[in-house]
Amino acid sequence: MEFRSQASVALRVNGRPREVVVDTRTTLLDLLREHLDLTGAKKGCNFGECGACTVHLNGRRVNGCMVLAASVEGGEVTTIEGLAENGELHPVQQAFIDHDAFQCGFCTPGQVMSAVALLREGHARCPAEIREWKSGNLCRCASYPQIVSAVAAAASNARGG
Amino acid sequence: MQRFAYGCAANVGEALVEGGAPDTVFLAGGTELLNWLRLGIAKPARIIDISRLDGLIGVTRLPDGGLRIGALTRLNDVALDEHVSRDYPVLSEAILKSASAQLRNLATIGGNPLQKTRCGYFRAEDTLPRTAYLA
Repeated sequence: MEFRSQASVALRVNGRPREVVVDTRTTLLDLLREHLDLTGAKKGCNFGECGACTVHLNGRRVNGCMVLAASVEGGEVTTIEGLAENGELHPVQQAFIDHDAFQCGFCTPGQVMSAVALLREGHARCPAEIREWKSGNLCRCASYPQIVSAVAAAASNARGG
Repeated sequence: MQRFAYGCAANVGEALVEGGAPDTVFLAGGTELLNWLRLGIAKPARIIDISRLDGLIGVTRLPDGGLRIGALTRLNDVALDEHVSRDYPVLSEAILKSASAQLRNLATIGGNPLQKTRCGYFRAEDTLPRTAYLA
């Protein structure tokens, strides 16, 4: 077993293969922001508590600040920059606009990434469930009611309702 | 964060052998370790990533009716497992009240009992290095 303080990490980010050499102390969040110029994910607390750094890793929503980049070798990461396809907003992004679900916007990328995953998980069956399963995303502007409305609307649209 | 050497264990045997060396810790979900590293209350020389080891993930029913839960099973996967939620609902509910969905997608059931108490005053005899606040 090889132990290194610098590692070459090969991963897919938003569908593209990337390879970066990083100090092994680098988190996935810092790899995205500092090494790949993907600054959509935000460093809110750098402690796993605010959710502003929420990204998708191998299909699951995680806090980018809680993952060592070195351990993402061979993994698949989706960031907020990878949501819109062919210039068209993702339905959740559109719902956030339609329902006025952000003020300063700092928590918003993490909120949207978290919401997209939450819908995929099937945890948007009612506002209470949305609130509980979005509890890992804090909003200091307190846009919570509008965020819940946006997620509920996106869930309803996805169901064809 | 103090520099460390990172390695990925290929199998349990290798992890155990290398894990016995001094100043060496395991990395599973990382939801405790990364914060300890940032706070400076853990300063390992080597970190062994065990998050991909085979054979330690999953929930299986035992012949006597109990469940075997692999130590590397992520908390959300334990809580949402059909056997756990049906036959051991307290475990499922307790897990789902913990942390956040994002953290539960990383944290492992085996790592969970290894949490350090979060209260800084409780840990007061390990004084936080001043640089933790300046970081």
